[in-house]
Amino acid sequence: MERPGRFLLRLLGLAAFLILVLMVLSFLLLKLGAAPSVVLLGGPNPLPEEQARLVADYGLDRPVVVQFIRYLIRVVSFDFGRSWLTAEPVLTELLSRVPATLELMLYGLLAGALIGVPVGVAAAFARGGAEDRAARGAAILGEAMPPFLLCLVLLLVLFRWLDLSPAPTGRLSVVLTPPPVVTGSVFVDAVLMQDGIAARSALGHLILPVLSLALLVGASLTLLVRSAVLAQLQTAHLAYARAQGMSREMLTGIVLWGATPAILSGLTAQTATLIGTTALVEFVFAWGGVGQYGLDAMAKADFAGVQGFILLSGLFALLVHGFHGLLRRLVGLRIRRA
Amino acid sequence: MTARAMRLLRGLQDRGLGVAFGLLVLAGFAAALMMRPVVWPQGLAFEDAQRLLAFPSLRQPMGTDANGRDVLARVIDGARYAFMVPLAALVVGIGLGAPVGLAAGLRGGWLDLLLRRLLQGVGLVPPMLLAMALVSAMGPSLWHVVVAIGLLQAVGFARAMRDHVRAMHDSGFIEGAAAIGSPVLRTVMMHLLPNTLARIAGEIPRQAAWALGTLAAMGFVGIATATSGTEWGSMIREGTEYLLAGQWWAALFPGLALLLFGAALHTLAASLDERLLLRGPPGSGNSAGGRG
Amino acid sequence: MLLDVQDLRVERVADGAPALAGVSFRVVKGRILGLVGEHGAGKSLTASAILGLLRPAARVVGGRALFEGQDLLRMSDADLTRLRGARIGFVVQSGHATLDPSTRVGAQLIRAMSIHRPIVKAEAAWRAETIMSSMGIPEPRQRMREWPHELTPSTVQRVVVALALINEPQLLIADEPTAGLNITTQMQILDLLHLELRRRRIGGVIITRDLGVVAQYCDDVAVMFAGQVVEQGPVAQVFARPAHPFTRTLIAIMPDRLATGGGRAYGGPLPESGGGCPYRPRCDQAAERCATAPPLVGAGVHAARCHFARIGAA
Repeated sequence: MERPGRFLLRLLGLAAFLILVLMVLSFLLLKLGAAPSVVLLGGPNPLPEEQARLVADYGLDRPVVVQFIRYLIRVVSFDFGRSWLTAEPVLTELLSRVPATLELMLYGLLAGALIGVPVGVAAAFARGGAEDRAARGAAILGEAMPPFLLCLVLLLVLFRWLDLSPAPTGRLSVVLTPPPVVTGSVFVDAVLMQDGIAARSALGHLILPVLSLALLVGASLTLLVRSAVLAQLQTAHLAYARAQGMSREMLTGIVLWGATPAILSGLTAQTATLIGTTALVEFVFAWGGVGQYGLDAMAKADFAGVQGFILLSGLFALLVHGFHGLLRRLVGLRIRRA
Repeated sequence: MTARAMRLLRGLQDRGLGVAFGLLVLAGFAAALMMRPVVWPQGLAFEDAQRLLAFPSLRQPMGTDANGRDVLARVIDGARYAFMVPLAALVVGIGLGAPVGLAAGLRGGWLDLLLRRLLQGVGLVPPMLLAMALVSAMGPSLWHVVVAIGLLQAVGFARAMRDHVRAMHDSGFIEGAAAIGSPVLRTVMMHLLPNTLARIAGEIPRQAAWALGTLAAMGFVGIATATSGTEWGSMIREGTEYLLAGQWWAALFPGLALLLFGAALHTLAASLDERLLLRGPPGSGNSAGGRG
Repeated sequence: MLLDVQDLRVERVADGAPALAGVSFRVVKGRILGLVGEHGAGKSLTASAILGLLRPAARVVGGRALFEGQDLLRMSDADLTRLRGARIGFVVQSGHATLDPSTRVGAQLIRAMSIHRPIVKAEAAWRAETIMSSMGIPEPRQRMREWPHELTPSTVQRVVVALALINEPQLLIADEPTAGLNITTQMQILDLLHLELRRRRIGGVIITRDLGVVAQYCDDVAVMFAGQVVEQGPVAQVFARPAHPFTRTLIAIMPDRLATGGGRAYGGPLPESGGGCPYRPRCDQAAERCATAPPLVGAGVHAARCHFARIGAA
């Protein structure tokens, strides 16, 4: 069992390598492009001065390796280039949109867990029974459901037909002014400023996107939790616990505790790729998060934006995985060290 | 539900209801696809200017879109992409990923380590987003879509293959075979591959479903514009503004087709998993409460 | 009488195949019953069925198991839960695989008490320490703070015995309590079990494959074969004059097994299913009439299921 110090060093080394791979990847994206890099970076009709600037900055007249080194240096010094669509630095645009995405993902994950965990546990306990089959069927439906379709269906029903939800105009009604940014969450900030109207509007706008994400996350979580709990139910020490006379509730607690590592692992994997699903949801609801930004950039071939977005997604996943690894180590250490 | 009905269902399920359902749905799509040019040759191109965005009726069971085209005919035709793209992408994915994974698993050493780290790095980016970025870079043609999706799938197949081969290697199976004179390639062909195949059989429909979903997402976001003919995702994109205004059929029916196709694939995958993975080697099933 | 099992029948849910074809035996208070048979005879299954712990793949389809006047097979799970670990103690095999790996030993002992009655932590801790000490575990207070995987196999099994006895049960069932332990430890644990059972004057069932264990530690024996009890009675009588061919075989190979110190598999052709005597394929006495189910031939407390059984004869 390695000492935590050495483990951390190894982790950082791995992280550095992986970040390097990410940078190569996003650099290659540009180079694989059908259009010349000036177009991808500068838009469909860049002005001559613009072209010249791009060539100079990115070293587009130099060999590929040199270009890559230049790119590396730029990224490390936090220069992600400039979007030709908005003429703003990509990093600034991304960072300003991060809170929106984080808010959506956080609520979506929580709500998804609230749905997925109980259903998964119930399905595992009802193994083979009607509830189990229903839960598995619903889970398959959730996995096969394209995220944007679910959003559209919910919009149709709750916005168009039942008029229970506002139009998909992002985080706030277009006629209102957003509160000053404190936490980054429009809803929370509105509450902090005691702006009741904005708060209500923000809350209303949160419902459908969060619901969509929650249903999708919940579906995959159900399957995951079910198999993790099932594995626990087969273990010898659970049978022994029953023989000791532990009640249903206690046994459920033991099973859940035992299933937690597997569930956490699965949850980590899910979260790391959640950006993809969230991006689609953001796209439909014009949420104003990094996902929408990235997808827009891809649709319009704004490559500085695309590169930045891909890098950011990879980094986010790296953070999530790293955090999970650390958590596991810490808990493991606690158990080992009596 | 009556007890008898439940028992019947359970019996059906044991005999592979899931597989039956999945295959039936897919066969249905294929049949409709093939019959449409015969049953209704001009259904695709015909733009009925009198009936733009018409509500579903007997004549046009799924209504018409904003250009007056019959939605049902277009949805059926869109099944073309649902079959072609995932299949082609799988060929690319397995064709590229399996050999790479095999080589890395057999060789071991630094090649294996390098591959693993590379795959790990690439795997950090959500595959769907990476595929979309690739298509965005390479250009919106269908071939690029196939390659992009295929490449991302290759990552997964390479890893699965490598893990599987590595496990067999570590268990001494390959060494043992070599020790009795069996050439490595022969061992691979005759034992490894069938074994791997059983393991990943359930994964293939699942990957196909993912490919379909990614294709549709590309169509919906507007990245794969070259397929905007009758590809379901693009159809949904075109119909979105009307759906929000209440005229939902142009967007929803392609969506339902997507859902149904995907559900069929996932059900197939789940059933295959259950039949192949959980029914382990004989003697490993549930014993009734302990031995002795 | 502490436990009266009558004609217990268990079958496999999937195809209705019988797993226990009418198991009957009695456990008397103050005496220890040895339930012996080869691998797959249904010994553990019997214990599981009695305690209501069958896996979903099997179910009880007949018989009674009377304990303290109640039929365990017909009790609700809630009532059974109250009995398990309290009135009926269970010593499991391979403790290292079955003890909860994520809870400290002391906490597990305290938990075993607190789930059955409200108890003050201090008292519970004291009781835990006391019983561990009486199990022969050195430095019990230190051991209580440790995790199961930190203990030696011998200590683990002693903890398992402690867990079974901590709530002062009236009946103790030990399912192959020494499986996987080395010879010296095996004898220590069995000595411990025997001592505790005698000291507390309660009834016990020891499930084992080793007839030598029965000879040394049990008062009564029930021999199982293919899901049935084929012979039962006081150890002295059964060993002196075994009435069933299987029992005779077991006794015959017994010195061998004690000498080699462990399991020599004594298999043979599969037991016969269908209406006849299940031992028929292996029996050197088999005759025409063995195609029908043999009756229970008995004299007093010694009985055997064999057409040719003569209780009390040489």
